[in-house]
Amino acid sequence: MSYYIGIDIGSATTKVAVVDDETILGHKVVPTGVHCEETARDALDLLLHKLSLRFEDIKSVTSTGYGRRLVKFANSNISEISANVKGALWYGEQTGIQVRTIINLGGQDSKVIAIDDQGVTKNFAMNDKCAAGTGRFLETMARILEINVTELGEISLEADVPIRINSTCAVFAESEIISLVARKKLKSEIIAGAHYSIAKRLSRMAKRVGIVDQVFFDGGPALNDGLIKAMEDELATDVYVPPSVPQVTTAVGAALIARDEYQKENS
Amino acid sequence: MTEQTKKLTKRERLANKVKVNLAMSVREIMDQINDQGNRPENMAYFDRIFETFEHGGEGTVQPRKGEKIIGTYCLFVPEELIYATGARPVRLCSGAYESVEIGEDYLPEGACPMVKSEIGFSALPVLSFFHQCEMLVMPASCDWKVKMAEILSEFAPVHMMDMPRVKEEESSRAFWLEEVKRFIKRLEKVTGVRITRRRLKQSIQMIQRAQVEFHRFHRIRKATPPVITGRDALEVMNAYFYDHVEDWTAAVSKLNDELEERIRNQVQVARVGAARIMLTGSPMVFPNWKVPTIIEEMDGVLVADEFCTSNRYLNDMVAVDEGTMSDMVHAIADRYLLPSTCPIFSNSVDRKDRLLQLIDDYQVEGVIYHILKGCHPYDVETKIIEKLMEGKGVPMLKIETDYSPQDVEQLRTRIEAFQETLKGRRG
Amino acid sequence: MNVQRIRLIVQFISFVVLTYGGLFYIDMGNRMPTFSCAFVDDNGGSCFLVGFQHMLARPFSEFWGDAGIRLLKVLGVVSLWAIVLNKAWCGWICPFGFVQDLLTKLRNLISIDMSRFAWMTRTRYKSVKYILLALLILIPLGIGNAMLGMPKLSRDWSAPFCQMCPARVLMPILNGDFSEIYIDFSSGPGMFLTTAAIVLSGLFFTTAFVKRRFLCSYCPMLALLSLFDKIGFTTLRKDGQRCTRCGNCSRACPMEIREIEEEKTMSNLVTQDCILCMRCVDVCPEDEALQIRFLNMPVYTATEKGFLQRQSGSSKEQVESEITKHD
Repeated sequence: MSYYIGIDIGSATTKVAVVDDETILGHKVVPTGVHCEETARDALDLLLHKLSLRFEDIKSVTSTGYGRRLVKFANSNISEISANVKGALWYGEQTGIQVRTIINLGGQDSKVIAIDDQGVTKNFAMNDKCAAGTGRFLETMARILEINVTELGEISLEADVPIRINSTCAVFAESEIISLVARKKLKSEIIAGAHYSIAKRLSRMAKRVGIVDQVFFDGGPALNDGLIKAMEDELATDVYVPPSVPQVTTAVGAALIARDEYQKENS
Repeated sequence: MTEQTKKLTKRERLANKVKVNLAMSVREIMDQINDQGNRPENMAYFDRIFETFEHGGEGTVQPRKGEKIIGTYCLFVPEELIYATGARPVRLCSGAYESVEIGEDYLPEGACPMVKSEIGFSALPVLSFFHQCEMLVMPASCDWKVKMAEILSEFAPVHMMDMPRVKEEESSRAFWLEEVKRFIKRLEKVTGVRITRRRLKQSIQMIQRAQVEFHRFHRIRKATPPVITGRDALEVMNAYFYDHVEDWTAAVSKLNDELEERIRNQVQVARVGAARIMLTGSPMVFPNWKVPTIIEEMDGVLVADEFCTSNRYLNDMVAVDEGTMSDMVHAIADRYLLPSTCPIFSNSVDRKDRLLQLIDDYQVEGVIYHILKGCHPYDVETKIIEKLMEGKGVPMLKIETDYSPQDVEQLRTRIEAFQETLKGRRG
Repeated sequence: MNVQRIRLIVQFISFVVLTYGGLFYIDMGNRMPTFSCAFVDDNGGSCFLVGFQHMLARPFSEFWGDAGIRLLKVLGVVSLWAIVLNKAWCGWICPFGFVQDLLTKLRNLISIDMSRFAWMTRTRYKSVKYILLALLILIPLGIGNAMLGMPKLSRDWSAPFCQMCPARVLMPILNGDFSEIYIDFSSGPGMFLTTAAIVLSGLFFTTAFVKRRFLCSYCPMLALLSLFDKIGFTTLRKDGQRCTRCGNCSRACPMEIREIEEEKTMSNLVTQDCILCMRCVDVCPEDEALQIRFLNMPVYTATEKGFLQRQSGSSKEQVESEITKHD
């Protein structure tokens, strides 16, 4: 059996995925540490151990994400756009969805990728050096409201009417949220408001690229049901999130690319 | 994501988008309104009406038992006739930014945001009362409305009322009278109720009673310093769109009592020395509260307005002469056509005199002339009004905007500077 | 108090005084510029036109003597009356006008709609009253003098206006005197003029069920009084800026005067056809837009409150209480 590894080193978390010739065997998400390579290696070891595999069994490793060049043991590295597309298409195939638009929300970035009906990347847009409308913003808000980031979705769904957050800048939005808290606004409505503000930003970016159904939404914040609802409302279309762990799409994509490359070289 | 949400159609999805964004806007504006502080207690009645916009317009219009809803656009639609058939007029002119985008699918970008917004609400199930109308009545007042009728007929039966433009002429008046009579026939058919002399007399008097309170309210607004803010005044008038005239009259009566009490107790709502502003131009409908909010946040006070959605709405009254059926119909036709200060008419003399009179009555220091992008009738009249204000010695600021919030900060700077100049002029 | 009600009372009193006053030894003279017909036996004062026409029917040369002075006296009294009360003679005093107003009330009672002239027609007929006025002077003069290359007119033309006046036929009836209903077959002019009077009397009744004050528009007395519009004591002022041109005034005007609505600059709106009935002020909803002044003192001013009071009709008390409560 041949095994392939994809490593996605993001600003917030590092994702590792293992695939064989047929399917995904497993994945792991850990917080990105100071030393990217060590974190990645540790995560990989844990995963391999769980799957009872040895590093020697691995045919090829592809890294992606911000820290992709720091992973010295990787055989190749690739941009997260390509890896994301690859992973998303694979998940799409598994669930019978033809993915045409990918919206990825990371810890510090967000991107929208348009794919044509052949599965080829047509166009993409990314946020530029600004944390507005990223996962980091959600974390900041959770901190201000003194709740866990994972609770945001559930709480926000209780909101009657989301409160409009006017500031798009993460820093200003932070102070806006603080003032809303001071004015004794409901947490649920503040959070829902923040979700809509992110969704609005993303949908504006998506409109530049062009939204075509189906829309695939991944990245850590895609775990947040409230955000998904906001995205669906703002994009006015159904949004698909990969089952169970939406963060690992890119890592899976990287692993699949490692497999493809290996197979191509050795055929 | 549940299976159920997956089943939503594109139309429902779009409706949800507009709905949630509208709710957010309304909540934001209601917050700003409440931030004014020192509001009359009786404003709560009117707030409730607009708060329903947060929940898809449920309860905005509360039809009485068996009451059919007739949607109207413009104040040229004679409401006396609708009430006389036992139906309920609901004015559908709208000010929501959220539905403008939907309307753009039907009209060119240059169209005025009001018609776009209205079409958006008719096209999508966002506000329920837009979809409960038995019939829509559209006066051919401006070019956009003429075409809008055709577009809206896709969603509901539309009755078009043709409008003359030279209201001074005999032929125009005869023509309009015929249009009013044609409207009566259509109304009777749609509602299945014949308008009798007694019914018409009662409905004329019912609206006249509302006008008693309307005029009393506007006399109160003349008080210096003002006892009610311009935004609250606009809200009271805007509530008339959706409320039954009798309920509205009762609520305004209570409010008026409270306001008169305020005059006696010298309660103030604006800082002493705030610039006294009059707004005129293209109509403003909730939630398009952008300009009035800026005016009042920037140390101005909106003491008067000349909008068909507010001060012009109930100003003119039906004068019954001999009291026969045809006399009443004639009186109604005249009331809607002749004193109208709408810029669609060929002669602006009535509007000019009205503005001058308002400036005198309300001690206006500066006029803000509001033009919605694409609202040609008001745009065309700008120069004429500019000249008039120059002659009167009252500074005027022309603002061209739409429903989008993007230009708020620019407008804020301009309006603040304008109001500072006004205060500087006092010497 | 409703001005129209006051007017009705005043009209009634003057009707009684002028038509039956003679029974109570009232005599206000026979120099009045109003249709209190001299042929009404018990009148308490009468129209100056009978005597006036007779005075004119003499050669020009005689006017340089007593006749001229008598004529000047009549004209002096009439002018004085006209200046002091101007059109109130028509709207408030004329018994013939009062009967027309009563018929209008009857028409309203049985709900018959009134009709209006087309604007063009109305404007065109305006001059008729002046032509009648001119004839009323020229024909008697033509009896005493050969004018315009024509021979002197026969005596059968004397008092031509009275001969054709419907008031002469109808008003005596109210006094129990039916003898004025006749056609004078004794002469050509007599037959022509008295037939006209009968026809006009018929029109008087029929038009009352179609229009308001139909005959007044052609009345030479109105033409005569209108000469004093500018110097009359009573004026009708309009504040053009307050006027919204809602058209209520011209719609309610029994004389169908359009200037009252259209004019924004004219200071005195007592126009040639105005009868000072003040109906326009009744239906004016704008505070101080219209105002009746006597010797420049405001006597009746349009107000929004007054308008609503008058409009409220059956629910009058309710609106009144609402209005007073808010004062």
